[in-house]
Amino acid sequence: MSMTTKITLGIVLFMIIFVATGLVLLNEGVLDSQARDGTGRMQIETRAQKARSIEAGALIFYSNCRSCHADNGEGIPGKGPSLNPDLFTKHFPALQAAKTFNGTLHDFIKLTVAAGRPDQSTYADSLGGFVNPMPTWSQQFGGPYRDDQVEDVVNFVLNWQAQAAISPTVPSNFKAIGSDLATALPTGDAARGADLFAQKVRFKDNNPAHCKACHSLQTDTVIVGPSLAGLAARADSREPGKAAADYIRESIQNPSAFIVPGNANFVGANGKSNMPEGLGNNMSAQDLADLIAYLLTLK
Amino acid sequence: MRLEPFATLNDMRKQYGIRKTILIKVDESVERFTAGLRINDVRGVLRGDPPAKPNPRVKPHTEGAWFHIWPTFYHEAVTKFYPTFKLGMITTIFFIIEIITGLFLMLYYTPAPGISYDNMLRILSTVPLGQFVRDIHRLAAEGMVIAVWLHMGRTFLTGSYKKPRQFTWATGVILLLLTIALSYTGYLLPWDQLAYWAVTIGASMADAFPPPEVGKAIGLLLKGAPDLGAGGLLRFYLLHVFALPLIAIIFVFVHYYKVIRHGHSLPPGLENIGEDNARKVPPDRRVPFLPDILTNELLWFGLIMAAMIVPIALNLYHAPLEHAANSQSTPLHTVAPWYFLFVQGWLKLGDKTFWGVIFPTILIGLLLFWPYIDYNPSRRYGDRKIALMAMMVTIGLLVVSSYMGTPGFSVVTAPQLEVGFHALPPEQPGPIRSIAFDQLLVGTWSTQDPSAVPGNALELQAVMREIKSEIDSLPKTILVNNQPVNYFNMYAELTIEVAQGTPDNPTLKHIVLAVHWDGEPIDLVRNQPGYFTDTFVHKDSKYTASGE
Repeated sequence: MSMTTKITLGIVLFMIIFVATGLVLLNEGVLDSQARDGTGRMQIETRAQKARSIEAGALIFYSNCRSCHADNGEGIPGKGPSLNPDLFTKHFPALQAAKTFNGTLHDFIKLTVAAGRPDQSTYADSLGGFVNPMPTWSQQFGGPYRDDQVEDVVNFVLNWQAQAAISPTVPSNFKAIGSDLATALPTGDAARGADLFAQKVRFKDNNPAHCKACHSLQTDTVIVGPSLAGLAARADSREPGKAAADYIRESIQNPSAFIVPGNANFVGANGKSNMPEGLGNNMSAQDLADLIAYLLTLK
Repeated sequence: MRLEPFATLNDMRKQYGIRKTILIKVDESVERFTAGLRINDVRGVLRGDPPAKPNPRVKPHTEGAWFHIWPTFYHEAVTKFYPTFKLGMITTIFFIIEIITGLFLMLYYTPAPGISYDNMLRILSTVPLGQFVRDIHRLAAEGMVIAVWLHMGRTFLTGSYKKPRQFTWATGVILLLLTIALSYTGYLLPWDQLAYWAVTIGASMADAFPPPEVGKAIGLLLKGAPDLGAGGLLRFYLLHVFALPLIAIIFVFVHYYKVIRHGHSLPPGLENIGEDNARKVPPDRRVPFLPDILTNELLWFGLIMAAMIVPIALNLYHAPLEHAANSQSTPLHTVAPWYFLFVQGWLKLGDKTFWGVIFPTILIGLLLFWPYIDYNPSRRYGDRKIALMAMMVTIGLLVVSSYMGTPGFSVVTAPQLEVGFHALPPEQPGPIRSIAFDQLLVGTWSTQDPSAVPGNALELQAVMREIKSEIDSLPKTILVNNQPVNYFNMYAELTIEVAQGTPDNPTLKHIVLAVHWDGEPIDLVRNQPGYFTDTFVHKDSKYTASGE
């Protein structure tokens, strides 16, 4: 090869390298317009990393958090507060108004997830309290997860924020049955009760039923509370003087009124049932009747 | 008497004028910089002029530090593509690229668990050209391992290790080991699942060193703790960026210097048996290093750079990055880097101490001392039938052992695990996550009837067919503890629901892959029969077929 050919070839190769590198650089997102519109590779990658963090957080939430905060973060009375939407619409705005927390919403969620709650907060008290306090999740505080995994969960929870503004609201004509055991219930529809249990439909206040978070339908399977298999058969003889329907009604509306002797696993340190109180606050009389009708089919 | 041996600048100005003084000084600077070439000599090189007499172009070799490890001229016979295939030079070029790109990556990297992986994410998302440089670093590392192996194979093939080049070969074997060690220590640094588990396999071999007390000590020395952690990462980092490159540079110099001492070995056919004429190059067959060889090498450098940069610029290749290392979660198929697969294959044969330590040590020893063992003086192919056959057999064994190292060999995995692993791999995007987000239709889809997927989700339909053919290709009966276990009528169901966002505008979807077969056990978490894999997919995740 003559020197002229080599120099020509060298210039061609240099141009290829220079142009290819330049094209990569131009696509990176260093231009102001790309940074503004989020069209550069770095901006897309940043969003993708956030998205994958949300996915990882979703898996952690799915296997650890939903037993108390429910599938869609709407919370379970007596077990865990609502994150979606109450954390965004009530809890954090209240903290900000009272100036008791200086950080951002992100900081607040991260702190709570990482370090848990050693004691019931006043916010928890105002909701009637919870059976168990929030555990610690970060390895720094004795939990199972690394800091980046805690961050993943925070990103997942924050992903509800945009949606929290448009969450279902309680209809104005909704009347809760509460702990009222005296009012006679209307005729129950077992099929709707089954749908309520399976969370295919919601209570009249637009919240879902959380029974299946703790109660299995498989015989002898304990998730948190006792299995409901064969409930209809044994409910009749549980509490002296109470028929099956009345016994189930009392157990839902006022769970600590009667505790089956010998079932220490389901009783808290305060002697009360682990079954949360206040479940009736989300149900209308019809909702309760439908659920009871369904439970009476579990022979 | 005035003691002034050099003319001062002022004297020169008076004698020659400003313009000429500057030219003289520039010329002197160039001469010092090039260790002997004046401006006109450099221009003559670029014009392609023949050298002046006496030849000033040999001066950089005798005067300069850099060029003295290159010969002043090569034999014409070794400047062609055969017999060297340029492999030694290509290895050096890759090594230089690694040093430059590595320095750039070091700017953004801290070797500490909990920080390193975040650094990797930032290199990809906030450093301009960060991904680009990382891709080049990774490609050049793989290229260097390939080139160094091929270079050794070529040297064996042409018998160039024979007297007087035995020691050159030995330093080459050391450079091969250093290259693999450099690549392997670098493999750990991203601190992702891929790195953590691949290196865990290799580092566990150190523990197998006999006797057990010594193995334990070596393992501790390497990893800093019984398991890979902060200590191990720091040690691998220091080996990767400091100790190994330093040793490698020293050996590169020794290796190169030996080449000058003995000359490039000529093609076997050019010499009589037992002769070595590499140093006796007839004047008419000399090719000067300056300018011919140097410009050739610069061209090769450009060619290799272009060959790496163009595919990266076209998004044909990106270095992989998996999830952050998690010592609590072992991936289903843990695989060593491809150039170590053969060792993983041997480890499956049985005793870790024999196959992981003693056997490789014997092979390395054999390789190191081979030139001193091989007494056959002839370098001609026809006279070396046994040696060349041994080489072919060794290559064949390495290929077979590497195949044995892959998960497909001698690892029995239950079919439902394989289906879940391939459709929703924990560390790669896999087919399901690669489906366009809006084609992940809410509902339940079964491999029993892939055509039930509507026509506006052809990607989903194709993936359902892919999973179906995967199930069909898996064994229907496997042996567990020598008892046959049947997996008849297996099918998979994909359930997709909106996890976050509104039904019209979802941001996150929950995907459950359920595998069902006759006699399936109850899944303890769900209380339902079958085998389930959960995942979530976000609309911005940008899972693509290539790259991450």
